[in-house]
Amino acid sequence: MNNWFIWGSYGVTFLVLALEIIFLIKRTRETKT
Amino acid sequence: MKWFWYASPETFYPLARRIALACGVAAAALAVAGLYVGLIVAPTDAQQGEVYRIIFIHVPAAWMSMFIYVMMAFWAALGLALNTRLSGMMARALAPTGALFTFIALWTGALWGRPTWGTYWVWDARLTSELILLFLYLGFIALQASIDDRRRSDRAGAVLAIVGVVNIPIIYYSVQWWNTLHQGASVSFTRAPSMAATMFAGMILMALAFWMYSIAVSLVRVRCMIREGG
Repeated sequence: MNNWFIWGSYGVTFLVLALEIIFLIKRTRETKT
Repeated sequence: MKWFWYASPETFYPLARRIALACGVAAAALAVAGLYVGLIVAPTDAQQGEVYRIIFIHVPAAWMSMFIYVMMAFWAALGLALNTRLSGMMARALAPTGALFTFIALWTGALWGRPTWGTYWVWDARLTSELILLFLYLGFIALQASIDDRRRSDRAGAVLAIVGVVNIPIIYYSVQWWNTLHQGASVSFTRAPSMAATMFAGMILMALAFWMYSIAVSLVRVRCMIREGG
């Protein structure tokens, strides 16, 4: 059960950071064209 | 370093790319090292077992949430005092990343609270003041988005950012000023850390990784703003 708390923390953290990077890449591409 | 030369968005633009690239690479390397130390090298905690490993995300994210806010207020104040375009852009670029780290600190705190305190949330001074920090970030972003005139929105945002700085010492000292469920600081500038050396090393590595990440993404965002015209 405790493993769920650990992976829930690490998983969501890296997911939201990855989302920020994806949105930034998208914005970079849009502003370059 | 030619500070005033780089105060112009046009001259800062190529420099931002180089710094963002270097910080991005450093962030990835530090995160790999931090995760290795935190998840593999660091021993199991005698009292909490494995769940304490949330510390390697939670504490660095909480530090970054406060540090980014102070930096955001600094750039906003600089923009207010000197009326420089780049300062406003820096403040705006930092806000989403700061809000993200505040959310991560609250989320990981909730998931750590459940197995150790028996609850995801309490209206404790530390947790509540951190939640207020998230609202300050969201308020800053919303205020900036609601005013079309960039100069006016930067000025309005600067006032909010500067007033909100008062919340930072409240978050930091909340565990000393009030009786809180949240534990006191494990790391301080004035005394040795109250944890094993490998645990401390993992935490510092992750904090540095988050720091480098924040610089990299903020500078990429500033470059987008410069291309969009401010």
